[in-house]
Amino acid sequence: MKRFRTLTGLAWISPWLLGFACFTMLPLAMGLWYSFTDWTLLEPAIPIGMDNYERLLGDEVVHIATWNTLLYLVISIPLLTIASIAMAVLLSKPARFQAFWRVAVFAPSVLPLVALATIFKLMYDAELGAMNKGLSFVGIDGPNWFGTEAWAMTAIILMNLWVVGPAMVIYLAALRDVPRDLNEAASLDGVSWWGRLVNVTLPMISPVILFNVIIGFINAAQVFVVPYIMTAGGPNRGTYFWSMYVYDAAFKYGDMGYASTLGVVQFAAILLLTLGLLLVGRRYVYYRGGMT
Amino acid sequence: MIEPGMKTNGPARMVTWLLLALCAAIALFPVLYMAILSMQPATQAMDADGGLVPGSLADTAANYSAVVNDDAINFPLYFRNTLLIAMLAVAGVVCSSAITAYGFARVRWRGRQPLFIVMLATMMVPFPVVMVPLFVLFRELDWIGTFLPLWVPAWFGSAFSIFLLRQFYMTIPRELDDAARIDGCGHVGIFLRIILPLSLPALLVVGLLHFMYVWNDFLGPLVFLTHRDQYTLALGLELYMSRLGTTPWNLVMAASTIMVAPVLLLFLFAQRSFLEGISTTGLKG
Amino acid sequence: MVPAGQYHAVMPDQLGRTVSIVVLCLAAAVAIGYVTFGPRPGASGHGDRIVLNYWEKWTGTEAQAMQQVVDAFNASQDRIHVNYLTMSSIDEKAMLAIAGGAPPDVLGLWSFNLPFYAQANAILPLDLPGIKAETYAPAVRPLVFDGDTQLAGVNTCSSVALYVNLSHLDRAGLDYRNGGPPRTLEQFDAMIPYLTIYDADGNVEQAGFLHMDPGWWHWCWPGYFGGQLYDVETDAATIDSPENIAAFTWFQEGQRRYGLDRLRRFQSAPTDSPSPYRNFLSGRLSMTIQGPWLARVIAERAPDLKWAAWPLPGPAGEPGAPAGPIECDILVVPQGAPHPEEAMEFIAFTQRQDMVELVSVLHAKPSPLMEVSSEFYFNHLNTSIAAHEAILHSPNGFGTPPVATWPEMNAALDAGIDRIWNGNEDVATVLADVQAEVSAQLERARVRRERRGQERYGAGP
Repeated sequence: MKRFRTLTGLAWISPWLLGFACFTMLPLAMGLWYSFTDWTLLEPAIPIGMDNYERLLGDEVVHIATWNTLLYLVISIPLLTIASIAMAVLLSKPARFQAFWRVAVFAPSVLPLVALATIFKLMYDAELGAMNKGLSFVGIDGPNWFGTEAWAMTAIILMNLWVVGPAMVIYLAALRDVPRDLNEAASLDGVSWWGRLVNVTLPMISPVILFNVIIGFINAAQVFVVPYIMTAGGPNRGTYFWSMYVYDAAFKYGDMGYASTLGVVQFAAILLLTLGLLLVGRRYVYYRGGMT
Repeated sequence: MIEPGMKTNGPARMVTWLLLALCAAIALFPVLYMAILSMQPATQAMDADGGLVPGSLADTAANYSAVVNDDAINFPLYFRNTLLIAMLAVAGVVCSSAITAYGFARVRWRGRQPLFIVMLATMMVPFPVVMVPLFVLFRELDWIGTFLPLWVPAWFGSAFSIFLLRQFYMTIPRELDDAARIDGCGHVGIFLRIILPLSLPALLVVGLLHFMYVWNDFLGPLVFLTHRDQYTLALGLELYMSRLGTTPWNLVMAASTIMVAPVLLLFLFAQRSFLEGISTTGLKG
Repeated sequence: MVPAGQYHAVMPDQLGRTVSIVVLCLAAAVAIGYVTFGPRPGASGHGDRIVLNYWEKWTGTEAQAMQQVVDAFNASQDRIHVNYLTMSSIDEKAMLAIAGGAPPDVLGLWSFNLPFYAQANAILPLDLPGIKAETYAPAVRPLVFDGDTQLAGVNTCSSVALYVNLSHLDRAGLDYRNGGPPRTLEQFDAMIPYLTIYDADGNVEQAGFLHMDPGWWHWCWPGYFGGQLYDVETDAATIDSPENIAAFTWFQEGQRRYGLDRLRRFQSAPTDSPSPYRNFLSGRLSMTIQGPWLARVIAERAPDLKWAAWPLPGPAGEPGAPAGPIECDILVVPQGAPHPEEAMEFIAFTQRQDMVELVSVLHAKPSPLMEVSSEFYFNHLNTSIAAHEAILHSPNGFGTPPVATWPEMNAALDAGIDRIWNGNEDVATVLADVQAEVSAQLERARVRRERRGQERYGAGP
């Protein structure tokens, strides 16, 4: 009977199970195997032990790509978290046309990244772009956005702020769940608006913050399309990210073995960092009694 | 004592309202910018002092017909390709995820919980990591240069959709199952007669989200499609833009508008289910 | 567990829901209709002819020129039909297609792609009847032959020359009519201050010469100084040679002459003809290095511009034998092409003197062949074609290094050049870094060849 139930369960989830085996586990296993080989696009793979991993440790481009990816993560995730919580708090206040504001703020998030990156490439254009025209409006001489490493990175991080939508909507739902009486009690005790936000609201929604940070981290760790379209990784590899190196190594330099190594390391890093985030996050996250 | 911002208080409301309007304006600016530029003649779009006003109706028509009738880049065909891939993939994701989610939500069996966690963990596997082995796998299957790599995997469900549907199924009262079981229904009967009809809105959300995912995908088509006649809009747009210098920005923006319009309309139309659907993924189940 | 109530919002009210479903069904119906009855890929309805897919990088006027050759071939026989298709980032996408087992029959690449493709076994050697190395100009031969094996046909060929706005020279009192073009780099450098005009705020209004405008031939500067990036004989990188340090120091001077801030403001000032050529066409830049097609662009967009093209002087060049970069647009047959024999038949057709000249004339480029007809010059769009030919036939003309790791080498070089230009870093230090990176690339390539027992590209007799 028990075995029958297990079989029934497996049968129901078999579509996913099959896909998981073919399109996730198999490629991961293949990638792991190829990472120990010398393998070009058109010729058979030759096992070479740990050579690719040794090369990776000393590869200057890996260092640059790692640094850029980390820099991007460390700046863009907090920024995105603050922006999406702020937007959610703002949108949770009673106001006229609320549905309209919500849709407006969310709308850029549904745009294809290719299109969004294309639009922003024009907006950042030093000559024609709206960005510098807007800045000169308030008396700032806009930078040459794609001219230096720092500004190119800033441009990519800034563009990301237009994609606050999904996180914001999740925060919005979480804010609605924060018990009103808690806030009201605090306000009767004379706690300021800011104090209530920091001491009541944020702890109450902290599980959702952790969830969004993890999702945001996984997405940001594989950033590819925006720099590919906007900067092609330049200048001086200042916006060259890990995923771009995987792509270049495989399909531009024809080095599939090394590309697999880069992929394996990327996966391992994401896995470990996610687990780390979860473990550290759990300590600071407040779960309401009985919720977990 | 009146707390500022607590009660319906004029100035605070005004500030909220102004902030909202400002944020909405900033958020919508890129979209409006794109739309307006796509309606300008080249001389105006490429002039730094051209301003943010659309050109005449004739200019607009000229821009769009130039994009649609381009001799090298066949946007109507790419539109069709993208639509075809998206529809096949959406059909696949909806069917397979609906079935799989049932197994995770409604059948009690050993190993369900660990496998569910494994499934959630697969959302952590970035595409670039499996891109190279998948390329080899599809090459062995002779699928490179066909649409197959872009929609067949969808027929095996996507972790995100399964998760969303499972969350939804959990909210359907179990008493309904029991009643059906008394009527002699098995799992298949319960699934078809009770779960499916009740979860139509959730299926809709899953379909919409996956449609947008496929519509927006760039790296997949970039790696798996080879022939120009198979391009999707994302690749077409990149191809179009990479001729910059010969292609003026107003036409690039018109091409972007063509790609953006369907998803934006779909979102505006279904925004309520859409936003609710996304917010469910943040809830603990 | 989540209470069911939270999902009520998912279901809109009954009316809204009905409307939603109706509209969605309509949208789905329209979508299905569009997919079923909408546009389809161009049917290969050419009777029982073999259809060859030919991928090429050109669009617009340049594509139309090549289309004429394709049309001529299709009309010349009744067995094969060639289908011309434009691609972007063609070198990357073609490699993917070849590796994926779905390549085209004929592929148009740049000559700098050839070593990488050849070493990767991605192309087939060509056997073109009646064509020998001697058919092509000497500078072109090493770009399409590996030893005695022909790997590619030549579509067109360009050399890079200095394009000069003659009105600017007149206005500055530089007497090129009697003095002729600058013969040394010192003479050339001395012209630049005369051609640079600042406005009242100290902004550059007219620039004499900018190394980064258009910035397409980063690798070329050493060639003017007699330096090279790679030594074929020893398979070694020579990035930090004294000649190269001199060349990139001169390059960096070009930036310091104006300063990064001024350059940024100069490049972001509005012009009326947006394109990579905008500064030269609008008369804000007096001299620029460009390929011969610029003559065509000038004729189309700035017909009133008075211009001439000269070889850019440099220590390596001599008046009779100028230095300058040479590039070819090449045709190859990819590994796994469905119809390799027919593809070679097409390539052989494109190598006919009349066909080569047809494309070259319309592209405003010199002819890559040894034999050139008199009509060629008669019809030619580029009045300064002699300057391009002088470079093409000069012993001091140079191409990209014949090295299979060029894509990686170029990426390393590009990053170094960004540091030299934008970062104002010490040239010798930067080049030493690039040298180290490139040497490691070459060493890896050597180990890889040894593992597979392969010959090095370019090492042949």
